Amino acid sequence: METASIRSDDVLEADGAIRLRKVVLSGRLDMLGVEEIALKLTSLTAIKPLPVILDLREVSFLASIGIRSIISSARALDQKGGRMVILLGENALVKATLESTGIDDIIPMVSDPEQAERDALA
Amino acid sequence: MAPPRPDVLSLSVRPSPNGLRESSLWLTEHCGRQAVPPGPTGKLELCLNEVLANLLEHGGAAESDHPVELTLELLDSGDRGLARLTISDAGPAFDPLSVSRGPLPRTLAEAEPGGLGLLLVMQFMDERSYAREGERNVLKLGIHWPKGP
Repeated sequence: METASIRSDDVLEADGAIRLRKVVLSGRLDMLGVEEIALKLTSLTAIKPLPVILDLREVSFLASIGIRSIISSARALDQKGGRMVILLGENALVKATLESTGIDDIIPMVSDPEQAERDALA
Repeated sequence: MAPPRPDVLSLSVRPSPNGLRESSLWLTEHCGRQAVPPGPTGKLELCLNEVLANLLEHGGAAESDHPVELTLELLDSGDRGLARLTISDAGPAFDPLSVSRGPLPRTLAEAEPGGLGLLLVMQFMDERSYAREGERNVLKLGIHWPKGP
């Protein structure tokens, strides 16, 4: 059974400052999967006040423990003055899971990558 | 007319992170072989994971020598399919369906991350019941889907 992974890509300003951070999660975010990515997710999203796109398009399974990890990172980022936007693409089950728990009301969720950039930088 | 014939499968699983994955694999492979659509399969898999995670984190099942017993029934009633999952454990009596949760948060600052798993069970499952049978908790979850022509 597949496991979870995390990678990131920074969009830079001309002076080298980070303009936007894209964090991509993939695989299964169950108990074992969250153990594998949680520390890195926190270090990528909750340290600096950045606009962050959290890309969940490659997530095949999102359990509540994964939602808790996302909420914790988004809240820490918010307290630093940053902003998180969730990018879902056509990931129907993950979208239904987040909507059922009301997360779409507290963290912006979009399907389109360009819209995600506009919303994160707004 | 003869009643619909259920297809029944059982699994004993230890409540552990690896046990959660084992049970997910068991459920998704069996649903896949029986042509259960991906949507209902994914929701049932998620709810199974949440119930087992709850037992592992709060239910005392981790300390129990007794495995959790799972039974999956797939029924065909003509115009719709039904998957019914029974989860039975020997932990202290606990009805997860009786747990009430406050209103959903309106801001990140208000967000209280606990209780989301049982909220998903309440949202995604069409059938839910709990009973204490002897020394065991017996939770039954079911999901329907329409069948094509």
